[in-house]
Amino acid sequence: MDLRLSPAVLRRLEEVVNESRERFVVDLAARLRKLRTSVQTVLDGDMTQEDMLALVFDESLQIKGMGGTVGYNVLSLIATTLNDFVTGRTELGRIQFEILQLHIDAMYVVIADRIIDNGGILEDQVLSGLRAAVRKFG
Amino acid sequence: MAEKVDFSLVHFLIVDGNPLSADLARDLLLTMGATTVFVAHGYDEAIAALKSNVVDVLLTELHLPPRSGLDLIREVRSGKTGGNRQMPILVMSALSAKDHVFEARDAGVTEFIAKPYGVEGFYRRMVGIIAHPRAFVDSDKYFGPDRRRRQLPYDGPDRRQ
Repeated sequence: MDLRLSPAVLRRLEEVVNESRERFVVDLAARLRKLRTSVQTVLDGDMTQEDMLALVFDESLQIKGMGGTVGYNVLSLIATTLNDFVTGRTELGRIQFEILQLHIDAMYVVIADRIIDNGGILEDQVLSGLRAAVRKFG
Repeated sequence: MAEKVDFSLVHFLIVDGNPLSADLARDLLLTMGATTVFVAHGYDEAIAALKSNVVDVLLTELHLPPRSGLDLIREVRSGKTGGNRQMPILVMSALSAKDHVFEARDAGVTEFIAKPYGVEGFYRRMVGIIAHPRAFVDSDKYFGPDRRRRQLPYDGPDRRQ
């Protein structure tokens, strides 16, 4: 049994992935808006941190899963760090809250600049910074 | 000449709460030659689809709030959905930490694809689960594909006479 993909089939499958990329960007924008709104709602005192963290868990998991699949690898990596950060958490301190916001901001930048694949040195440094913050304050 | 899998003969069910993710998997399967791909966005919808259609391969996300994909896998393996208990089940999930993989394995999954995934890996897994069905184990505590993947040399005492 030949498990290898022929170049023609591979090309067609990659076209399918590319076609869903723009749909993903629209979907992602809505998810990021939802995340920012929930953060603001917590700051306004109209939502509990626990509810917000549950939402962040769900949304970051979706972004992690879809991002890299459609070529936004950096985005998946940021979402993975965020998802790991909020997993099992029901409340945040001030610095932890800021770390969460930094993740959301970083994802906004990635999508605004359409940074696909693994990005460059700057994206690498941003990711390292987020991971270091999570390690220190997580 | 290499043997090929005819996906047009296989009926798939994709279960994923994220419509974009479900649509992408469906479109990939259709491009690979599948002609029958059902899609469900939650546990209840998946159970209904399994009860009212012939499904040969199940692809499911683990994160299906308020239920879990593990519940769905256990339902299929227990025979409560009325379908083939031995159907290949492929988990495609971003819940890919070791614990989740082990839980899925022990619930009876055939293969696990961690999201994000690449199209080549997706293709290989689909061909693999259809072309190379794994032996099944039916015991008091477990019903599902044989969980042993490796043949390791055994150097302990031989208890068989």
